Amino acid sequence: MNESKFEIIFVIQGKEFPVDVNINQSIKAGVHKALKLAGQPGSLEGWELRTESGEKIDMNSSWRDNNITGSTKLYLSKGAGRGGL
Amino acid sequence: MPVEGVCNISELRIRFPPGVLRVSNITLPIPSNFLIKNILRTRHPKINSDYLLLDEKVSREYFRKVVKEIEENKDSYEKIWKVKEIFFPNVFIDVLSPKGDVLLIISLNLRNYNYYPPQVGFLTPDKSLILSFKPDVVIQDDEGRRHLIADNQGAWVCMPGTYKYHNWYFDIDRWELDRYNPDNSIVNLINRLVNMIDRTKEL
Repeated sequence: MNESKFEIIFVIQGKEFPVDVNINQSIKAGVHKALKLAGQPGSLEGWELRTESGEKIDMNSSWRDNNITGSTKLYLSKGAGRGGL
Repeated sequence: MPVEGVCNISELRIRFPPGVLRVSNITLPIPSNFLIKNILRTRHPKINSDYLLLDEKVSREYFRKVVKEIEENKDSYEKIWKVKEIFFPNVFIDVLSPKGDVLLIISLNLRNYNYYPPQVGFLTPDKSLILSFKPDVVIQDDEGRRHLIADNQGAWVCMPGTYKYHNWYFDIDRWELDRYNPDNSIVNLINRLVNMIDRTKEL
């Protein structure tokens, strides 16, 4: 595999969806692919991508911007949504 | 009518909803100087014994499905959250710090599920209801909301898929239209709840 490409494992609703990404690619491109694999294609509105330690990742940035340069597992789920104080 | 103070009544009649007791009216003789206080019932207001709206058999069937969903998916989140205890109608979820310590416990009460959404609150690791948070442990969303309603009984989650939210926004945001939305599945709900918490901050 080209060194600028690696695999991200997206965890969505408890299931794992591996996606090949490019280090300079926008993260949201990989997220789109993962959601499509999970049968939930469409807008990214409301979705949040986090590391295992809970850090939220800006999906508009690239993998390189976030120092994600190799295979790793990330967690994709919805945010809190409406309501609250 | 709620009464507070010394009153001049000699008996009190309590009307229970049908099904709670075989006899729906009980008359209690009470002393003439008995002090009656208006009891604040903000904790689980519709999950107390006088608001058990859903037949227990139905509730248990939905609870079985919820437990199955959790069992099938929990391993993927073992370093983020884990099941502490499950007993009808409650599910307790440990939320873990990156080091694996229990930060707090999410409490889900599913007694009226899915006629109503789960009642969701937070417990401290010693099982007491949380009365105060470190203010920065709950992350604000993009609109600056913390999705919590605090009262003197604890802190309750107020976001779509939880009882507090749909009870408050009932007329415009009905649970009946949302309860089969995948976003409101139990595992997704747990993940959305965990996302509210800054797991790097110990309580």
